[in-house]
Amino acid sequence: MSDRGLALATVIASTLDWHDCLTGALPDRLLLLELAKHGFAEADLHGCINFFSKVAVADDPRASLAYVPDHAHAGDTVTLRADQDLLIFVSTAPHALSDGPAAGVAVQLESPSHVEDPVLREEAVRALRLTRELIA
Amino acid sequence: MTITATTVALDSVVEAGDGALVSVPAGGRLRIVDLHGNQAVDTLFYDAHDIDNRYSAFDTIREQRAVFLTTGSRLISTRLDELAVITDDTCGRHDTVGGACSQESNVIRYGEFTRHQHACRQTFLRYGAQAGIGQRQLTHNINFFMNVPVTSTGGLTFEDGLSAPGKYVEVTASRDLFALISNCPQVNNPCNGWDPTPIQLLGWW
Repeated sequence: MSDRGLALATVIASTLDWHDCLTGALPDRLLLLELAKHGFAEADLHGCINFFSKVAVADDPRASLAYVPDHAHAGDTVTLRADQDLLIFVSTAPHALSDGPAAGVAVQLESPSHVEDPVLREEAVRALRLTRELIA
Repeated sequence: MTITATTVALDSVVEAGDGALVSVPAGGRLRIVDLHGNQAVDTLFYDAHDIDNRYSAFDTIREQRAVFLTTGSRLISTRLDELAVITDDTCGRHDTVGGACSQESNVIRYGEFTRHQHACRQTFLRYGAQAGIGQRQLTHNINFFMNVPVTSTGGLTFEDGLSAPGKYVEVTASRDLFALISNCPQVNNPCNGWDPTPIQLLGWW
């Protein structure tokens, strides 16, 4: 979802039940360079998704966090459907709470084809409808 | 508590749905008082000398290894600087993942009829403009006094508040700061007890 209430992408398949979107990333010079190539800068960096990472939330008074090592394994995948034209910036830095090395990822792009909507929350359904009306 | 020789530099009431841009010098203490209870106060912090060095919810959450903010929480910037520390808190916990309402998010959450209701995004833009803070600089904010339980299964809901009349939270600036505040006008969920009310800002520096 974008900050203007539109759908950016939908997760249509994932071999993992959890991808972290709470704990951000450390400042990353290479990511900033990639942003710069497209006219973006530090001010455009907001919260990122840490695909394949899990930081568990405890049911305690502060919702304490603990990094879960070995959450993902070689061969795990996540598949996104772009709901509008997107630029996606990917950095394979290790998770900020991990003491392990970074691992590479393979990124595959498939040409657009019709993909049925998965079961979505009401908010997501509205966002998709508005987005489709805008780009139609 | 040690009382140091400071003067009351700020004492003002922010009406429901209004906002403020407050310049807080390093060492200054800013207190936000929930005058009537259950009022979400959407707040962003910026390094006053470089607004691109701004509050980062994600770096703050990661560095303290906990989602909720309370006394002792260090408010960390995108460059991993400490902007401020929460030094007093009679409410108990504060949210920083629920975000600020906008006209656009209201439409997808609650329906088309909310499109022209006032929202925190408008207040942030109005008061931020005088410091050069615009759309690009609006990032994930703190919701003081707001209750957004996050569960071990990844659930997140906006619930009725934990706050009460007279509860307050106080931050001490670690460097010269702008505090950009929107006293949330939201009436479509219980974050303001369905009834937005005024807050008081007190500052000592």
